[in-house]
Amino acid sequence: MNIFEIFTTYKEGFLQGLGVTLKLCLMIWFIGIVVGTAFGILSAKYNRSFGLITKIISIFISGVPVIVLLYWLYYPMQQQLQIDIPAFNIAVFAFSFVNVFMVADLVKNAIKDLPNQYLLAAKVSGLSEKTILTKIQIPLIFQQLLGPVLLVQISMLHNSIFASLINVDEIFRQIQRINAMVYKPIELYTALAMFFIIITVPLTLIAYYLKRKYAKDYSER
Amino acid sequence: MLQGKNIYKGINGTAILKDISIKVEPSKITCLIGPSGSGKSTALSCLSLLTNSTKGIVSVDGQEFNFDNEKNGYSNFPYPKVTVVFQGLFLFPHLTNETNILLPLKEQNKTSNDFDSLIDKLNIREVLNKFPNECSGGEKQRVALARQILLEPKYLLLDEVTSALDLETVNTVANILTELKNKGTGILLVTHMINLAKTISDDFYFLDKGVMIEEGNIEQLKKPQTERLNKFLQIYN
Repeated sequence: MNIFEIFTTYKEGFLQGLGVTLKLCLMIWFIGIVVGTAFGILSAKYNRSFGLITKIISIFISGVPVIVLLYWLYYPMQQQLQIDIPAFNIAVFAFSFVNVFMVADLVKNAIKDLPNQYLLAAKVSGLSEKTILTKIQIPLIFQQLLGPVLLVQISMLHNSIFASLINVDEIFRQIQRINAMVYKPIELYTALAMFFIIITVPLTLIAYYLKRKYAKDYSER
Repeated sequence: MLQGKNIYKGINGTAILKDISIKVEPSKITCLIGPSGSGKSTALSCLSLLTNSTKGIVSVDGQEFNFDNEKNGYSNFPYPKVTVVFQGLFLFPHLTNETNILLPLKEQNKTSNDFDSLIDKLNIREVLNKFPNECSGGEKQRVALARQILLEPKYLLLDEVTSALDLETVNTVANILTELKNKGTGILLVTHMINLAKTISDDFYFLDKGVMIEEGNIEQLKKPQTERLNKFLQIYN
């Protein structure tokens, strides 16, 4: 059985795994970017209260591997609380939690690193707070954030395979299941690698395109 | 009149400005001279209310302004009636030079009739579509000047804005500043170019180590009243 025959035979499993992985990633990305940006802005604005809390959580997250968090939420937490949450939801929560605080950290630092002098120049030029925010702060912060945030999202995609360990039927788990039946590890795991490359390369190209379009090199020449 | 009275500025227990008073009058060019580290830029920041002075009062045309500690700024300070060209220029790096100039004008709902003539006088037409990082230091200084001048401020504060210009362009800038003065603008010129100061200024202030050592009519620079100013000027003679 060659790889095409395997794909044809187990088409349903592949497509389901693909769908679950994409759904998982889209939810993680959306929650991470939207909530993370909001948290980042609040952390920069209220550095000593909200900022301190997000900093502590960020330190916690950087110290605990995401797989441990995933396991902890799926097994001991549910057991202790006597609840039963679907594995997919646990995975969305765990990865989004990590993504939110990673994005928040990037946003907060980008806001804090924006040279105050640009804001002073805008102020003495009579620009309103709204114009300063929309025409000066956001574009400058956006260009600084673009690369790092996309890299975090790509790493989230890669990390999503850990969801298979708590029985989420994403692509890695489906490949494992099919491999158990046909035992074609080289073909199947190469196909899996290709799948990740197919998703990651366009994302990287989009990142380059956006960087070229919006994040020109403004350093002095 | 833009006026700072008894301005004291301390940072971490060190006095940067020691009870200095300074006036910028309409239709006058006032220069602020002094050695590096004397507090000139800090004085300009305090006067334009971009920095909170530890003590003292700043007033614009009789209206006094107080620092708002919560907002870390002054409420309702009349920018760009009072505006500044910084030593570091701070053109917005993601905008072209043209947008850098036009954005503040658009915000004020102004369309300047002087745009073309000023752009030509400052010889920056060729760099209008470039980004600031694609320009030389002198070109950026001229763009920054154009941005603030076209706002038609009543008080224009300039911090070393001619430092990267050749003598011919300094002369052009001097003529532009004199024209502005004749139209009623009050200008404070922080500079190391003593000859420029002597040529276009009406009054001067000499600051050293945060203390206002001497002030007066520009003619007084020919016969300084203090030994310190005399010694300072000898370097330039």
